[in-house]
Amino acid sequence: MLSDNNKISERQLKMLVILNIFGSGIISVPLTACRFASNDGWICVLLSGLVMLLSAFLILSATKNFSGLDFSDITKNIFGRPISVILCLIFAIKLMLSTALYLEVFSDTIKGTILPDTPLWLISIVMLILCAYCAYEGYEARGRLAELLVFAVFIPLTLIFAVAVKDSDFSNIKPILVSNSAENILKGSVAVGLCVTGVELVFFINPYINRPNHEKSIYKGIIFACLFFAVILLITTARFGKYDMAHQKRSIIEIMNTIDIPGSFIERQDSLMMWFYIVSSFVIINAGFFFATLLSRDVFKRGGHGIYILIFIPLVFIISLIPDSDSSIFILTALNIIFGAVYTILLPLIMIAFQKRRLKK
Amino acid sequence: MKITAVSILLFISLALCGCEKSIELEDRALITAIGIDKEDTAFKISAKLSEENNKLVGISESADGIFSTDSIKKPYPALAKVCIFGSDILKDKKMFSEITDYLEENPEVSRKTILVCTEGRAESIIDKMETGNEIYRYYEINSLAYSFYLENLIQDMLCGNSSAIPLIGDSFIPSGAVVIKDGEYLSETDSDTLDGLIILSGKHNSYDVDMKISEDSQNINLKVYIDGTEKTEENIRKAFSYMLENNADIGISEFVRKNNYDLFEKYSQDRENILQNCRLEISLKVKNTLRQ
Repeated sequence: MLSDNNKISERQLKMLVILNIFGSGIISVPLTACRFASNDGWICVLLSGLVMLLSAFLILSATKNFSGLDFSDITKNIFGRPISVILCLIFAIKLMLSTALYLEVFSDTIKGTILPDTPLWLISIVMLILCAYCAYEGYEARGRLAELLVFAVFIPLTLIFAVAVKDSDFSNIKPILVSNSAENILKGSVAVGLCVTGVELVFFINPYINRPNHEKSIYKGIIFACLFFAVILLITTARFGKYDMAHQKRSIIEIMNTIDIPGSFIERQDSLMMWFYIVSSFVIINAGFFFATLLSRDVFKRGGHGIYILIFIPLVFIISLIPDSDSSIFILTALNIIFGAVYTILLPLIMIAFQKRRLKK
Repeated sequence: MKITAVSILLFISLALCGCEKSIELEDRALITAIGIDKEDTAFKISAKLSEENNKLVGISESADGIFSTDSIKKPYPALAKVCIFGSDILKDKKMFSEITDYLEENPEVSRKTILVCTEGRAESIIDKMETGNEIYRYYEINSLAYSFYLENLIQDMLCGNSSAIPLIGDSFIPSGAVVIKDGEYLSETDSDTLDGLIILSGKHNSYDVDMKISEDSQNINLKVYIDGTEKTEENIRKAFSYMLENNADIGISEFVRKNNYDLFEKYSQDRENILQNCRLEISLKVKNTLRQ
């Protein structure tokens, strides 16, 4: 029997972490890794796992004494109500902006690949309403959905990349760790680690966890997502080479256009890749939606979660129409890196320091 | 309840606007082979269709209009396995660059489309085709034959400065190549030179080759160990001389970059430097007759 207590299992948590990392990184991770370390980008992704694990560790350490409390209550306990409101407001605005940008990038990709004649705004609004509905249903619904959708993401992706390995030129990843300086690789790892949104959402999970021992699920999710990401980026680099990768906006998605699936009767094979892309985008957009509205509710302390969803739909939609796709990817990556550095490294450190100081007193 | 029903109806009516430009399958012209020629200052597309003995012709001033012909059926290039360039289009740098950029960016054209060119007009090759699959079938049957894809052209031009597109005649079988340097027509080569170029650029399917690089006081030594015949060695030398004479770098500097980065950095101020400083050495093993 399915429970209805707005709590998720450890397995669901792991799936959510994996899907959040994939959904938020599918466009920005290859671009960031390639910009810093070209053919060694896949090593950056491997190392970025350490940055994500560190962020998750810091966030979990900062919130472990507040079992069952959400972000606004935790920050209120540590810093007091005024600072908590400011932190929540900034977090909510960031989530709203990034959700709008993910939506713009998603709609533009879908229009450019499989629905060229469908208006951009229509693709955006369909996705937005779907994500808003899922966000309205609560965290448990998201957890259950993640358990189902994870197969929709990884089965086509594994199939596509298994075929892509066949005639990829692995000499394209050479020279390994020679042409890029250690400094660039480290910078790239940090940037990749910060540019995915999955980890910062760990701040919000406390009220939705059944068991207190959930850290392992988060770490396992991060390790799995990073390993899988590194492998697909390695294959993508082998497929395109560093020069071709550098001038592609969506290299992981483009790979579909370069392979022939044996025995396939599908004319447009890129629809297989789109399957994976739509699902992972859906997860990250509805995550942003869900947490942004929760934070807004906690800040304004008026009305239910549903009202804020209704307010956010037009806001996110209008913001998503403003930038073009190229600027969206750039702004999104920059926003995630800057915000990630402050909210997933600096803020947890300050929270830990404040708690220790209070204990000493 | 009423509000929900009205919202759903409104939403469905919005979604229906996606059907405004819908095209039924029977109204699509399914292209199996594309021929591209130059017609004065315009692009002329001749496409073989999946329906037997059916051809589609269109003229467009810009590359992105080549599939927007006035025909009753809307051209659909996603099934095209082959694209043939006429010699005129190869010789016009601007038009060639425009058309390759368009093919690369069009999501309906696969990067796995086989590229070939012809001495005359691509249209005449399309006219001689019965099904449009003749060239593709040749590569399918001869799996060791060198097939050159749109993907190869893009990567060759990004990595080095030159690329060799197989040249076909009326029999649809490659008989040499056209070398493109810096996006511009350079010259035609015979099949022997093409054979050597393929080996040196590492795109061979039928040879057991190992290439090594080292440096002496002044040169980059490119040593090729190959399991082949004397003719193979002759082809490699011919291809290497061709590259040196024309400064046409097909995969050499990229090979140096991948295998000896220090050497690459030393000469990489001008990429043509790398090729000009290369000295070729071939170590031939007589081909095993059983394998032949």
